Amino acid sequence: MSRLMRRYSKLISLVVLCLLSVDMMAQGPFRPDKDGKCFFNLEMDMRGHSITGLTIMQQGDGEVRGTVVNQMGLKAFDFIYNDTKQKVELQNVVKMMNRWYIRRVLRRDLRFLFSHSSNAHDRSHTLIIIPDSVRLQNTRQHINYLFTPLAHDLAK
Amino acid sequence: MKLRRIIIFQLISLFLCLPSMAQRKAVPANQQNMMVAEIEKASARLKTFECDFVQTKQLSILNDKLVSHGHMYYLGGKSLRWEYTSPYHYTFIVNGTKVKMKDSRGSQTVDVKSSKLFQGITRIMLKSMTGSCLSEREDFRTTLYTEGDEWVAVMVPLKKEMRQLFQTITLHYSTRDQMVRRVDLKERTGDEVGIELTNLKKNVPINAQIFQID
Repeated sequence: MSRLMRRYSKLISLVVLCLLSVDMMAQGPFRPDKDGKCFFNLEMDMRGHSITGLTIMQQGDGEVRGTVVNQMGLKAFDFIYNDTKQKVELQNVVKMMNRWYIRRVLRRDLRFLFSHSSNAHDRSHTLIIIPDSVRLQNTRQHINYLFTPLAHDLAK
Repeated sequence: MKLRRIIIFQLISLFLCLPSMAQRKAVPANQQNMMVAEIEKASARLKTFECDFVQTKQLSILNDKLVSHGHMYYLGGKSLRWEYTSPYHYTFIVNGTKVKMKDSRGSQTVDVKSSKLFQGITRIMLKSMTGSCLSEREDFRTTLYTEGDEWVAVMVPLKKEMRQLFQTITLHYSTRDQMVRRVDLKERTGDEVGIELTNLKKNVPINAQIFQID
């Protein structure tokens, strides 16, 4: 009986741990408040080439919706991250970037970014969260993303 | 009951929209040529130009818009300084064949000859500010309309590089001085960017140093 109890308590602990970690993931550092928006400066370095832009995101029910535009207002792509499925969907990708291999890299990078709430790494990604910015490195493709929050309320 | 309300609301919206839709009138070819000639004449008289601008970017995925403010300077057909001052700082300077992009983190200089896309964008930026782009028949198919006290030029890009970015570029000119007051960019990705130009100052002294690219 006691052996059965011990086994169950282990199982319950595991379930609780899993639920906690899912909850922590859902509150990643990169999230606006519910129905709120957040604005980031985005700097992307790809094999020596650097581009800058803005990322604007909104937390919805079980998803994060966002867009990446350049400072002059031209869109690069939109994205939706589904919290439950931990899946990224890209939409309205500008023609120059609309290649299957670019979309795949972007989807994987954004998925890694949104599914971690603290410093993390896997075989091809390193996520570093520092107080005033978030740095994501795709070590396989040599792409660095640097997100720094815009203090302004851009929507005003 | 709810359905009836929706139908009534839609009918009211439609009637409210009708006057503004009806205002835009296509003009015959000979009148279009005359309008282009007038705009080009005004453009030729323009040596310098500065104004404030308000840029409104529609963000369809967020069902919202992003409004940015800034200042623009133009000098003699080859230099342009497009400076965002709020809510972020970003400067785009065109000087001849060089472009400098500057933000809070640093700056980057590009030779437009290295990219057809950059060439297209800088040319349209320079020429659309004065309106002289209407005669670029290789680059755009242009149709002119009249709308209240405005002339409206709807330009459909013909070159591949520009077609990848824009469906149409619409320029709104004041009939009083044939100067551009508003630019609407309809992106290929579906969203729109509207740029309103205000406080226009024509042929005022502008320090050439502000266009300098190291």
